[in-house]
Amino acid sequence: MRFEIKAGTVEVEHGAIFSGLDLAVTSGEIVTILGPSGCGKTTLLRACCGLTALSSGERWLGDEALQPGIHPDITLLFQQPVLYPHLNVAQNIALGGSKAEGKKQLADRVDAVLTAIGLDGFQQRGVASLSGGEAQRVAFGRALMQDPKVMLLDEPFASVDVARRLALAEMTREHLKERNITVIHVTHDEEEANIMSDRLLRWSEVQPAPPDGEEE
Amino acid sequence: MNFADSRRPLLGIHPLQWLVLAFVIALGIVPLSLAFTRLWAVTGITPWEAVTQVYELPAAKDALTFAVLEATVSTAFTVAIGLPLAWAFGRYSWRRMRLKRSLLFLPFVTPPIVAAAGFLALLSPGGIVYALGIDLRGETGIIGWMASVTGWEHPGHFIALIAAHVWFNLSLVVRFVEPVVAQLDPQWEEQLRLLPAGQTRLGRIQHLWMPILGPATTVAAAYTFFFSFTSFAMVKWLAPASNTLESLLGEMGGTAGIEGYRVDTSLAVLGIATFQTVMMLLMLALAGRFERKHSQVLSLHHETANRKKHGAAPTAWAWFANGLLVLLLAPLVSVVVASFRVRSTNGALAGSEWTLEGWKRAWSGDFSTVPVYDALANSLTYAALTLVVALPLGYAVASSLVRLRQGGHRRVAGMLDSLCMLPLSMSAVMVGLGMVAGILRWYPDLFSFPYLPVVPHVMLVLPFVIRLLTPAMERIEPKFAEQASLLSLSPFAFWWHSRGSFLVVPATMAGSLCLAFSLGEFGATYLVVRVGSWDSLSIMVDQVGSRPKFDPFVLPTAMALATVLMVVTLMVLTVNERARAWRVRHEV
Repeated sequence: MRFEIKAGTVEVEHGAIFSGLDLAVTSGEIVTILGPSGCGKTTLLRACCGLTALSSGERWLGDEALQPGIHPDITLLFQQPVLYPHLNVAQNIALGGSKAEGKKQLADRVDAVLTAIGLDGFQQRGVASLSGGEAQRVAFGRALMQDPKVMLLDEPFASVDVARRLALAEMTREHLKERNITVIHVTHDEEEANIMSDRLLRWSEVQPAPPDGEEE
Repeated sequence: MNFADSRRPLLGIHPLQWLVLAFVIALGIVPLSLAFTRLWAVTGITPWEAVTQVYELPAAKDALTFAVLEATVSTAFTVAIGLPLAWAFGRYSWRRMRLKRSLLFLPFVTPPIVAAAGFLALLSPGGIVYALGIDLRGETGIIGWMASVTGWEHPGHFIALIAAHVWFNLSLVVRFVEPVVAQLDPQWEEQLRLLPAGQTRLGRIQHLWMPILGPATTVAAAYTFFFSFTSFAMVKWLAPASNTLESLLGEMGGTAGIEGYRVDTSLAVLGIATFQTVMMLLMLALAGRFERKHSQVLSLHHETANRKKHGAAPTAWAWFANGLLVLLLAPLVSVVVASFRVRSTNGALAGSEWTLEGWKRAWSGDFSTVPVYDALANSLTYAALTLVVALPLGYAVASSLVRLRQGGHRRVAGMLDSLCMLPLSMSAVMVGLGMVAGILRWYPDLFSFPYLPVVPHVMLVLPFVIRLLTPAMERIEPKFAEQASLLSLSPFAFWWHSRGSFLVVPATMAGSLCLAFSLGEFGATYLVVRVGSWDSLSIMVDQVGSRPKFDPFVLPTAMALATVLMVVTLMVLTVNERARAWRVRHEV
């Protein structure tokens, strides 16, 4: 589904993180925004999913102008995967399931997702024992369980070692394309950007005018 | 910027939460204010005038002198014994450290009435101290000689009280000082050894250990003084011929505030209560100041750094620390043993023999208004109700304080936090006095409310619940809530995964603390309980233990009751200890 942000501005006490920002992503497209640390990429993603309110501007999902706040069809994969320590891997992934699903159906879907992300057999593992890459895959699996229309990826492979990062990026792209999910992916790693994206934008193209604020 | 802020009015706090905050603050302030107003109305003089007049009352003057003296001596001995113990625990590795720590902290969480009973058992005929030829109770032998030579009245009682206070407060010194010793960067000491100023032990003490341990020791000393100054059950049982201001209030508080009846008592209570309130506020403010200094000293080194470096304790240190731990258990073991021992009245052959009579009488309620199972049921009911009321209230307050701080309203949060902590600056007897002279004298119908003791218990325990839950809530990273908000969870699931699940351990600790505190509470309950059938276990221990001892079964019965109270409290505290251990293991 098409996602668009029109004239988006996020202001903090010391000025604007970005202002008058326009960004449109077509259905199933993966757009990567490449920019240095601290330029405002994370704030942009938080504004897209509603975790941070836009000071002005609009968000559109298909033909629907979104109200401020969270929308169930948009999810975000944080830079550091957020897994709940009181739940095991399967339970963490199941959190992404729908309330309407039966127990059996949910368990089957969790198993399928785990197989898809290459973590078959990890169901009962505690999340504290996972490596950075495994943890991020679990978080990704949980996001897939949500069947989102739009997924926002905030440097999702930053906690993964270089050797596995590119393989993980390829796997992630494959799954996203398979499900036709619209994606905004931000990173400062060009190689990862090249693997992931259908369209590559530099931060200076997204936010041409220098904003008042400096830091994210 | 926070995704949830837009829905919350007035500084981000829901009106219902404001209501809870106001209720909790009122709960701490209103009863005592009402008591002061009532006493003021009955006596016709202001609290400040009462303070000046009460100083002319010999009993109050004696109580103040005694309280200052015993608190000062208790503090000096506690620090003198606690400091080396804290040093040994912080510096060396110990086998079964968890067990040793639990043993060390046991006295502090033992109900004061049980502790008093334990010391009485140690000192009475049949007790270890008595068996060693030291008669602190009857003051014969060397103690009697000491009294006659010095003219000091009841030196045995004083020594017993000091020993009990040291026993009770020792863990405070270890609790504050041990982490400083353990976490201190070993390189600090190594560096000092290489410098001229640190080449002698004295030099290292002067230039490193004193400045480093000073604030922690002062905090521990301040709290020890505070607890000794407001001691009630121990003074009542171990030094019956003397009074602290607290025990004097406990004695007189029950009849204060009645229109036209014993106005002199009301006047004395008003003066003493005003003086004590000011003293306690000052002491707590001072302790808080030292505590802030102390927290600045703690370095960020890992707790085991020093222990790893120094290895196992040398033999002398091991004997000292382990011997002290065994001694700490003596009063508690004595309670149990004394419940099965009765002094023999067999002609001239004074001694003691084994018996189950104490337990039988405790069971049948021969010496008390109710049998032990009724008192236990009352205690458990009060404790359960205290838990049911205090935990949700504490949660709501902690949640509001955290939200205010995270919303940038730190000053408002700080002010409200201080107001919620006010009951901490009141001793248990003062809280009881607030209930009796305040609420009950204005609204006498409350005398017939059977769960009345729950009110002071909630007041006294709430600050601890808030203190346990607030930092635990602050430690929860907001990312969990953010992630949960993206997962279309139900409101309960959202709360559970972003907050509730992280609070299970601190809430369990707070809950078991509520239960243990309520079970052992004595001072406030002593003043509030008016109907015999409401008696709690702690009141019953006192009731039986205060009876004339010419009946040889009085003491074993009191000890049997104290044993029941001790066992129930320890069972509750085991839950707390397990929760704490789990938290340490999982670093949450």
